[in-house]
Amino acid sequence: MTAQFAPAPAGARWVVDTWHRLECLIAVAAFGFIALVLIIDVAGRELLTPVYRVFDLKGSPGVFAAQKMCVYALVIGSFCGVGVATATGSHLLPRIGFGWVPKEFGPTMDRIADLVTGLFFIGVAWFGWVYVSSSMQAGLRMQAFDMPIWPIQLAIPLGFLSASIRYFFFAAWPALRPLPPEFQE
Amino acid sequence: MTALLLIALVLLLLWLRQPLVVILLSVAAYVQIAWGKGQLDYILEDMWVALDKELILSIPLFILCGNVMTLGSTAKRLIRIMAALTQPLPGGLGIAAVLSCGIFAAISGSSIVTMLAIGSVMYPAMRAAGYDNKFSLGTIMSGGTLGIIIPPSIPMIIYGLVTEASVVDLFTAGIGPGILMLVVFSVYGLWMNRKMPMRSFDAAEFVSACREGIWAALLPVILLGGIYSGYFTATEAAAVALLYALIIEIWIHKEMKPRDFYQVVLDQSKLGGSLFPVLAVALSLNIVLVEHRVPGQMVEFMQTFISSPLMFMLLVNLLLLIVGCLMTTGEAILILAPLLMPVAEAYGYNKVVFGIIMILNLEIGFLTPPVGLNLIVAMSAFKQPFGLLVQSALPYIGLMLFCLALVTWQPWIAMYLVDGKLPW
Repeated sequence: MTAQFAPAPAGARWVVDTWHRLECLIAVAAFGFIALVLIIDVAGRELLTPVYRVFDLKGSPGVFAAQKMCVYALVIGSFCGVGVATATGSHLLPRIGFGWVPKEFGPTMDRIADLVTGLFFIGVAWFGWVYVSSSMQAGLRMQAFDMPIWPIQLAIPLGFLSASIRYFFFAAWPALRPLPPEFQE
Repeated sequence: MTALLLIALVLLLLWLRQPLVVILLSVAAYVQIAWGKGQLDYILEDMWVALDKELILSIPLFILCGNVMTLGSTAKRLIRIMAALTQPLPGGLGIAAVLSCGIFAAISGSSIVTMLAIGSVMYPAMRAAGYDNKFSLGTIMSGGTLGIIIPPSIPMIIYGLVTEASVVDLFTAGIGPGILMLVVFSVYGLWMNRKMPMRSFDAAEFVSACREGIWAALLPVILLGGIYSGYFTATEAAAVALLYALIIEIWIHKEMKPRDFYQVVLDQSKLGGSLFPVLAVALSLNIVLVEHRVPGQMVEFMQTFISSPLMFMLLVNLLLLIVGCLMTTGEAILILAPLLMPVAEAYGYNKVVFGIIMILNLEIGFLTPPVGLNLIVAMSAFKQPFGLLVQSALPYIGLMLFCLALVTWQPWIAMYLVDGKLPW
């Protein structure tokens, strides 16, 4: 579908590509962190507990609050992943309504769809910010750590904001739009 | 009137080709505005609460584990063991394909991953051995669907998250129906290929295959054994499985380099970015619906029309089979499970049994057009026309409907391993 549109300006292509690489790095770091910390936690507990017993050591050999840290990493990775999924066309997209419009209007509909999604995500980002601000004002803190929770929660509005800007890029230059994946599970 | 406007809004968004996350967020916003306090930031708060659950961590880990095993040579090694074991039977390679899918399904929680991992090796091997094309395709495509019923299963984790059913119970309850389907598919393969030439059992080949594949074959034992013995939680088991998969693929099979892990995690990130926000929104919508007593009202509404639990279950099966043709498994569970499960409970169905029945229905959806994902993926993976794939899947759809009917009629097939109770 993208072939019908003029190529996007090189600057716009560079911006979305660089931005995508950055989001990929953050998402990979977050999900890699989850894998690493949980593996160290479980392996530490299973392998070192007998050693602790033998030497009568106190405390737990696992990683302190490993699962809670990983949940926070999951929030960061997931909402960063909203941008990654947007860039790669991986969002779950019901296709029931695709046949309701004649095929020749398909590319125009996709462009309108991108604009609508972009506007919608701006709204979600705004309400996300309202939520994060209230959490900041209330002084909510992380469970298990004595630190404010809002920097983690900020991933929610930022993820939607990033995706919305990318959708505006797609609406402005449809050649940047990724081809939809062949299948989604 | 407000309910009609909600339906109109959903139809408008479908027409506007909006992603599922937008549709669910719009519904949640509409419910808040029409029936709630109109505080839209509550939806974001509910999303945060929804994601703040440790069980959710098992999903990326199981996906990572499946991806690592797919990148390596686990599937080939498992197939070699199964082929050596079944070669004395007529149609042994077909049975080997089904059993390999079953064992790979006990590592991967995904239907497509299972079909591709086994099918890419087994389909050419079955064709080269003279097996009928339709039979080969049908076996591979339907064998792949076992990925979501034999634990670990990502749809079961999602169902557990949205309905608060025990994931360990769901995993345990998936074993019986999974074995039933393995047996039914194998008997069908045996009957269809009864005239195929048999080979004598080659003990040397079997020992050699076991020696090469023992590490891969041990993974399901460690994974499921750890969960069922209560030694690990589902999340811990997923972490152990991932560690084990990485060790055997990098240092024992030497099929993967540590730097390949970046690509594996990146693939998971794409999936996570599309799945977790939708999961969070669906869970937040669930909270809103419960606050407004929507499931309770649905129960009352349904009970005025349907008094018999059997009639209810027949209608639900029909609905889910239709939904399976039109939606992916994840979408269907996220949208329908929170609404249907309370109604099923009101008719006396256990939430674990209902989850298994729901997943069995949606499993059939992998083989039914137009959104039969295994058909679509097989079309590009095996370069076969869509019509032929549909024809190949038809006998297996019949077999799966038979298994579904059997589990619906005799729920102990799923529940025996959970509660140890038999009806006699």
